[in-house]
Amino acid sequence: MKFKFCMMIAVFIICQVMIAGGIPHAFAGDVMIIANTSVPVDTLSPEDVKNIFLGKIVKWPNDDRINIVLNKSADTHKEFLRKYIKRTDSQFDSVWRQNMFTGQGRIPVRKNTDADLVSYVAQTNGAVSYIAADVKLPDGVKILSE
Amino acid sequence: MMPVEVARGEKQMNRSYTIVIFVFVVMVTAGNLSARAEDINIHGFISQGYLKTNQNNYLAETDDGSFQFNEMGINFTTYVSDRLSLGCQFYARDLGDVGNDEIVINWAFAEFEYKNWLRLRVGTLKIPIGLYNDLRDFDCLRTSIFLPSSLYNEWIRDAANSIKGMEFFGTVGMGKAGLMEYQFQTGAMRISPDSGTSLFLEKTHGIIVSDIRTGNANNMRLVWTTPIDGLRFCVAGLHPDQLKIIGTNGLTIVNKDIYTATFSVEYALRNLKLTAENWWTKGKTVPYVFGKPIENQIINNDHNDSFYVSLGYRFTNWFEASFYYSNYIEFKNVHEDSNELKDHCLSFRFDINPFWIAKLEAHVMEGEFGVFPDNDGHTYNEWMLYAAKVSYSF
Repeated sequence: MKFKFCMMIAVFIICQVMIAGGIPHAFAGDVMIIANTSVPVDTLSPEDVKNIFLGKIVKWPNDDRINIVLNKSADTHKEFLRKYIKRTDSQFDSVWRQNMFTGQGRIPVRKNTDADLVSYVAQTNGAVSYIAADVKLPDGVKILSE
Repeated sequence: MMPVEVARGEKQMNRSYTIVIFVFVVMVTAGNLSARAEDINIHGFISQGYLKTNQNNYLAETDDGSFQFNEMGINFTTYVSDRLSLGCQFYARDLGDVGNDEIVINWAFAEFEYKNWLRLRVGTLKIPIGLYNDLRDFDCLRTSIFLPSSLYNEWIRDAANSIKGMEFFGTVGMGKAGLMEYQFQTGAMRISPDSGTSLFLEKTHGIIVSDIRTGNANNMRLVWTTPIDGLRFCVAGLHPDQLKIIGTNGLTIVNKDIYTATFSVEYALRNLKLTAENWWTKGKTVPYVFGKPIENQIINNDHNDSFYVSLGYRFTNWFEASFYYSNYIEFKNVHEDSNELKDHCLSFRFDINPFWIAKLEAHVMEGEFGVFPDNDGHTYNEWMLYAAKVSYSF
C-alpha cells in the first residue's frame, strides 16, 4: 500500500513537471510542400498534408500512389512537424514504425541534402516532400500551396 | 508426466537452435538492407525481458525471477505493382510455458489499393480490437512493457490474435469533421491447442486441451480522428461464431453468442498522451461432460466493467514515462479474488539510440486473475510484479 502511495506521488510530481516544463522550440524559417509535377493537385490543405505524411492517405485523386520523401535536415524537419503534423519527432517516427511492423506502409524515403531531395522528387512520379522556403527548385518539381 | 517433460525438454533444445539460426538470419539480413531497399522492405526486432514477483507466480515462474520472456520477428513487404503489395511477418515469442520460441506467421497478406476509401487485404490478418491489439507484439511501439490487462490480457492473447480471411478497410475524409478510418474483416479464427489460452484453462480448470474449434469471426474497427489536434475515438467489435474447447477427459466447454466490443479515446498532444479504453463482453459458457451440459455451471456473462486509464509523457528525446490503472473483471457478479485483477503500473522507457530501447516497470497488483501459487504454495491478493526489457529493432 505504501508503494502504491509512493507511485501516486511520483505520478503527481511527473504531472507538475509536465505542466511547468516544455520542449524548447527552435524556429528554423518557413517550409514549403513540394511535389513531382505529375501530382494531379496544385494545392494541399494542412489537414491533407498531415494525413498524407501520417500514411492515412496513400493515393492521389488520380489513384497514383503517393511517394513520401522525408527531409533529414533537422531544422526543416522540425519546423515541418511543428507546422503541419503537430507531433514530436518520436511520435512521428512511432507512427511509421507502426505502419512498418503491421505491413500497412513502407518507411518513407529519407534524403540527407536539399539537392538530393529535390532531385529525387523531380524524378519520382507521385513524390511529395517539404523543403526550406528559400531553396531553388529544378524542373519537374512544383510547390503545393495551401 | 516424465516422458512428456523429457519430450518438452528436447523440444526446447531444438527451439534454442532455431532461435540462434533465426537471430543469425536476422542480423545477416539487416546488414543487406540497403542493397534490397528498393525491392523488398525488411524490418525486424528482438526483445529480451525479465520478470519478478514478490509473491505469486504470474505468466512464468516469476517468484524465482524468469528470463522466459522474449519476442522476435522479421517482416518482408514489397510492392508488386502500384496497387498491389505483399507482406508477411515471422514471429516467435516465449512467455513462461507459452510460445516457447516457436516461429509462426504473425501476419501475411496481399493488399490491393483501389482508392483511399477502399482497400482490400486477404491472408492472415491481425484482429483490430481496441487501439493497440494489432500492435501489441511490438515492444518498441509503446512506453510500457505490458499493455493493460483489462483489454490486453496476456493469458488470452492468442484468442484475439489473428484470423485467416479478408478485410475491407480505408480512410474517409469528412472535411471539417476530421477523418474516419474503418476496417471490416471476416474469416476463420485460429487458436492453437498449445496456446496461452489452452495453458490457462489447464492450470485454472484442470482441462487438458486436445483441440480448439472455432468458427468464423466478423470483426470491425472505426477510428475517428477528430478536428481537435491529437484527439481520436475508436470503437471496435469482435463476434466469433463460437468457441469450442475440447478436453481429453470428456469435458468440453462451448462459448457461444460471443460479442466483444471496446470503446477508446486517445489524446496525444506534443509529448503528452492520455488514453482510456473500456471492454464490453457478452457470451454464454456451457460446459459439457461426455456430450451432456452441466446445467448448474452455465455462465451468462454480460458486463463492461473492465477498463483502464493511462497517462504518458516524453520528457526528453531519450526518456519517457507512463502510468496506467487497469481494472479487469472476468465474470460479472463473481466476487472472488481469482475473478479480477487491478493493476497500477509505472513504466520508464529509455531510447538508447534509434535501434535500442530499454524499459523498467513496476506493477502494484490487487486480485488473483491469472495468478498461480508461488513456491510456498499460496496465492496472495496483493502483490508486486517487476519487469525489465531490452529491445532491438530495425
